[in-house]
Amino acid sequence: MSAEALVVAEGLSRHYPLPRTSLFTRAERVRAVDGVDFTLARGHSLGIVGESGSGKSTLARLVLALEPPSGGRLTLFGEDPATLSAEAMRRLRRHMQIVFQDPFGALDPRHRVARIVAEPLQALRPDLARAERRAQALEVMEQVGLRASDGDKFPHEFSGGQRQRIAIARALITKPDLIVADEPVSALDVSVQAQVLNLMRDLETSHGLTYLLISHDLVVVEYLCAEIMVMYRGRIVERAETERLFAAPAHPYTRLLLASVPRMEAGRARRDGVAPPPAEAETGDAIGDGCPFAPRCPLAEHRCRAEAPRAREIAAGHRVACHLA
Amino acid sequence: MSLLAVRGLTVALPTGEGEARALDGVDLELAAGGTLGIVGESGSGKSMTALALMGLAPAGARIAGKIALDGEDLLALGEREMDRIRGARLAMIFQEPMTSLNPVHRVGQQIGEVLALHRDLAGGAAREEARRLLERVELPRPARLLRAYPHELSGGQRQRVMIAMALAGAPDLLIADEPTTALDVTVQERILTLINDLVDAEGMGLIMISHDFGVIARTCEAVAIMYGGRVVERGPVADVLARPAHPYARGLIEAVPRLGRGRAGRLATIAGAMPALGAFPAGCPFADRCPQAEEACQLQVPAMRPLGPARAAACHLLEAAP
Repeated sequence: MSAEALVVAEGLSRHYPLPRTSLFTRAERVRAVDGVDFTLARGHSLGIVGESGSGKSTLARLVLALEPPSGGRLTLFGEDPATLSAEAMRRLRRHMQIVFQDPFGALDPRHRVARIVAEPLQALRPDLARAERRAQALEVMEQVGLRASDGDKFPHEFSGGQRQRIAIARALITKPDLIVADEPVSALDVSVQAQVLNLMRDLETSHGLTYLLISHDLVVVEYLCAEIMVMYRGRIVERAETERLFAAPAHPYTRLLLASVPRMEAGRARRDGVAPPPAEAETGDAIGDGCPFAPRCPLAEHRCRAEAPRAREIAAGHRVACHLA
Repeated sequence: MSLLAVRGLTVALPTGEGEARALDGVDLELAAGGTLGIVGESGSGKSMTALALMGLAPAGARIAGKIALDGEDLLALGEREMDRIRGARLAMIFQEPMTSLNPVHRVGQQIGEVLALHRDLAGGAAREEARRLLERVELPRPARLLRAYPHELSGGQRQRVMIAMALAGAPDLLIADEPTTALDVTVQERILTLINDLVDAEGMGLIMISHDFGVIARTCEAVAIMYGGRVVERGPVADVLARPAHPYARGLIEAVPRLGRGRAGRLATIAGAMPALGAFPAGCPFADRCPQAEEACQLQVPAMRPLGPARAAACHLLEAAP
């Protein structure tokens, strides 16, 4: 890939120990993120889709260096965060920002909006005068469709969609290259969701942003991302350019996800040719050394339960971790 | 006769400055075994409609109009009579089953309470019926599940338990308010399949409340789109989704990103934002945001105009079908 790599993950893992059930057994571990490899190139926004428990939010926290990996290597803007001094890490952080799902919880209710938006500058640019920080805050607020006069209001005076604009303005103020957005429109109504998605796409061009978009919603990821990774139980099971993934999904889990999205065009009858999806996984399904999806997979063979499939490239840029793909 | 006929349902809530109408003249119709979706955004009144049907409107609300279930006006009933109908003839499931299940009681006990109240079952007969209900909602190992506490179940399993409790009184009408919004998409698909199967097998009517047109299309034959406490359009799901007539319905449907359409084109949006309760225009509730609004729209509330078989919309700019 010729474009500059903003994020490179190699065998990235994050395991959490579970409480021991007995003195005589080994402590079990949850493999929240389990050996993930990917490169996020500038200008090539990447979506991570998966259901609850897939590890997608943990992966976002790893990429933001909010928690250390328990295995593998992460390179951010060409540097390994594990080796950086606090000062160097702070300089690196201005290049990446996060936008969360809940625009209500993410904004301090006691502060006026201009101060909330300017807040990241306090840590990054302590040299700036207060008036200058405020001027910059009002400028980004206008760029996301808010009014300068909104700067003196409090968060509770805004609707959900406007609060998400405030959160986006705060992310933009450090002029980041990368925005990690974790379910940025899930809490919004349909018509407001469309406004925020359009804004995010406009900013991608106007501000030269690259998104790492975490979502359970395939449609949202399709709208914003050039490329998609599908996560299941801590692993990337499929990765492809967006169009390719929707046209030729190769992993049985990806196909199940796509078939499960209720569509406006469909009637009450099940869509033709789609088998009912297998039972939802019960918590604690032992997967041992096999494929994490094997317990739910309609196609699973003996081999799938015995041996974890490695990701293989089945077409240019299209990688799948499935023995049968 | 219809299973459910709602006429002019109005719910006025007390606010700082007098009253605000959360529902304003809502008409709905559902035949026995019929399926109706109610779609709208936050503040549209869709959940208030469900609560009013269940006799669960907030304390202090002033309710007017008529809710006829099999010809019996529910609004004329006393609280004790309504208790008898809730669970037995009307049942409701909610978005987050964890808040509707009692965390300190086992699943079997909670289903048992419904069976004792509405079916006069106790002891071994109640246990056997509870086990049958869990089987009916396709939960594995029902005997073991009866002894489980709600927190031991997954989100999908909890919603199935809620559906089993709703079925316990053998209701004529099931009201489902965003029952799958908190669930993963693969689990949602299974729950929607289950609801469809149960509605068909038991001959229950269904009112599905959702913000998601896909969920409505998957479960319902008819749809009502709400805005500002009013129904602005209704008709068969396929017709309304393919050719929405009301400008709000059109805007909302066009704002939905569709799977497989890729990055081409921008999403259509609706200008402005949903007003707060009590701040809707005096005329058509959508007049402030409507791209086609004329002077009359600001002044006068449009009546529902028939647009063809089973279709109607409330917009001054539409020609009524002859």
